Amino acid sequence: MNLKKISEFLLNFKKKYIYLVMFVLISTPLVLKRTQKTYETKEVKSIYQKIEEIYQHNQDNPEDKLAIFISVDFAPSTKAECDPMMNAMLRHAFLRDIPVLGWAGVPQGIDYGLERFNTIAKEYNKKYGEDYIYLGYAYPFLQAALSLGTDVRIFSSTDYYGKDTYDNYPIMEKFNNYNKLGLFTSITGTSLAEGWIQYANGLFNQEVAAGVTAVNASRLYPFLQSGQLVGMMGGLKGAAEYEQMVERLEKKEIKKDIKNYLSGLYKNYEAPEDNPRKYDTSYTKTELLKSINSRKMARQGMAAQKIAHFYVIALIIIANIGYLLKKRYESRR
Amino acid sequence: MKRKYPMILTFIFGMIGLFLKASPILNEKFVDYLLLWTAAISSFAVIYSTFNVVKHHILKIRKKHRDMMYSYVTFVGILLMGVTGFVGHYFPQSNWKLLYDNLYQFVRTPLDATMFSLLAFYISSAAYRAFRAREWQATMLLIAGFIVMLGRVATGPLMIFADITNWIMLVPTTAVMRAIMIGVGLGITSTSIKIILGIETSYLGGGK
Amino acid sequence: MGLLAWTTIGVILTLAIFSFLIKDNPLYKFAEHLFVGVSVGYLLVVTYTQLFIPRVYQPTKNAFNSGDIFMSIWMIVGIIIGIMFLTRLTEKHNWLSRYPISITVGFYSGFAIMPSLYTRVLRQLGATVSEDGVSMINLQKIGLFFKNPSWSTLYEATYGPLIVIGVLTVLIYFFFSFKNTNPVIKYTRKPAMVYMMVGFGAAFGYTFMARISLYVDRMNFIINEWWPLVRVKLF
Repeated sequence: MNLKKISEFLLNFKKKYIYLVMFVLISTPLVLKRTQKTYETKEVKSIYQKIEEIYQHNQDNPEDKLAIFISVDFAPSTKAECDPMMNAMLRHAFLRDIPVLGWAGVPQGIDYGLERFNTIAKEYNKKYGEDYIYLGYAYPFLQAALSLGTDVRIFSSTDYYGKDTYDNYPIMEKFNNYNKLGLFTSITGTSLAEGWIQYANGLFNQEVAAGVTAVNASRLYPFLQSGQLVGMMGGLKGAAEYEQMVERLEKKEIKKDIKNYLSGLYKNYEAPEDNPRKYDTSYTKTELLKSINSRKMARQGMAAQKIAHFYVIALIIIANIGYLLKKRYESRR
Repeated sequence: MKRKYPMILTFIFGMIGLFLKASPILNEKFVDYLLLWTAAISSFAVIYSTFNVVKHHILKIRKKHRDMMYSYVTFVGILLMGVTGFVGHYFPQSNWKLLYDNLYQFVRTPLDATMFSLLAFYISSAAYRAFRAREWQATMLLIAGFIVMLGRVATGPLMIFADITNWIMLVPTTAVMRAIMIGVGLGITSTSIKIILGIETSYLGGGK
Repeated sequence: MGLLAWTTIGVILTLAIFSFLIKDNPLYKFAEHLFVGVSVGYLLVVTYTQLFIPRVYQPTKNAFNSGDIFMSIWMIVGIIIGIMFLTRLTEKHNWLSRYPISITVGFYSGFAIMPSLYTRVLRQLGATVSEDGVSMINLQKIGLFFKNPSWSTLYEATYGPLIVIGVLTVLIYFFFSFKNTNPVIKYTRKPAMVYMMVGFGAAFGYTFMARISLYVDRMNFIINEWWPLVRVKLF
């Protein structure tokens, strides 16, 4: 056996072929529209259960409802993992008629967060200012975190659209501090989740959940164990788990095909002149398609992810076999 | 004077920050007032960073750098986004706002996301070239990595990896990250105290 | 311009960035410089509309309108301090920019001490000692494993002690990283290494997953967002 030749072959794959194989392997499951069912972990289930508890509390105490707060702390560069998480959480909250407040902790995510809030709200016929609100840019972070301790309207005296939050929005009258929030979620690709744990949970005992990219997920496990985090969605897998749970809930609650549901949602609706909705009350063919596809985004990604993982493991094993053979060849010489 | 007075200010505001909750005179309202100053400082910091970018590209054009044509592309981008954004803010129902939203959604967002996605190729190429199980530590690291990578995508017969992955994340990873976090927490505390007391002055920059 | 046209622009720009994988080329350079320009323009707009107007201009205007002298002076001083930051652009006067920096750095450093100590150190140490009021080194759980050996009782019995040992050994490793013959430091080095390699290996696995997800999303955008639009509109 010519160890030298084999080891040289194994250790010298050209970059372009590595990239090409990667491209083909990842594109194939996406072209075939394969989705991957995923097992559900305790850390994601606890966020789902927390929101279900908030729903139950709101059912039992209609005069003393709780809202949830979603902090869009990610830029489009990490939307691959964070977007499906935020979509799933918004869908869950809107399905359960839980009021949602939101803002962006990073400047690059401001408009992105708003677009997602309005797009998902459209799927459930939710009114801006009554069922949800988007408060714009939460900077300085410290002031934002502390203002929720008393009244967030001191900090966010106007919302994203520049309208006064004191007079114009019923949601802000009822839900404007941590006492009225059942859950605060930070969806981030940075370490902002730790900041929210430090201030919201550390100073005000607010229940905090995090949706983070996989890069940051391993750093937050100690907070899970210590109870400082209610739960955590880590990376695309976390997003896929939550997406799966919400899809089951949606099938149970809506009881019909999503396409028919969305097509019929605004069929007989005539928008009043002072339309409080921040979206067009109709679905085009393309919007319908986009909406349906966005419900399986993370799981479609997981199918491609599986193949990519096997591929890289194979590459590393091949490289190490080549390395061992080279070492043996060199020691024999 | 050029370093002494800023250091005195650091000490004063550091003490205010540290004793804010304990003091009967200072309270959260003072934090709100003070942080309005940070908002003003940050706004002008963005103007400063914009000047730097513009200056860099103007110098490129002046020196007739071979890539100077692309500097014009940068200026077009700044103007396009800036003008549509400012006009769209004052006329939210206009086409300017629509153009601004579309530029954000279909130009900035794909470019931002794609820049980062190149890392997928680099990491697989780097994994192939550099990850060698030379010693037992590296072998352990690789094996743990493989188990976690398989465990996160596990279905059917691979579910054993999912259970092991769960254990790895909840036990050794938690322990290591906790130890690192305790170190970081103590480091933050000591660095903050050093900054307030003027021992650490790197934030003032070089020079007199 | 319709949704299809804009999405096609997004796809072209995506492919322009990907072309860098083959070779640095004019299309990539164009996309890269466009990204810089559009990002800077966007940052300017959001800083003005979402930061300057609601948090600087509006409070100043309200203070002047309501005749609140203290607040008016406070905001004017704040704006002047902000303008001092711009002196960084000059060589001669850039020392003035130290004032706004020292106020910001000083306050944030001071304020962060207690919360970070509580969140990152005290609560974490507390969680290493006990979880939900039950000690981490729980002899009852260890006894339960011997009475009823199974994977789940083994997990429950070893979970707490392994975390405690892990945290202690890794802390000793980091705090006493210089060469030392003390037996505690010497004999905790290898277990700490084992924990760290497993922990960092897991972090590597997660990091890899994150990077791949970014690429998967881009391909998803092209294959499952753009291509169906083309099919719907054109075929």
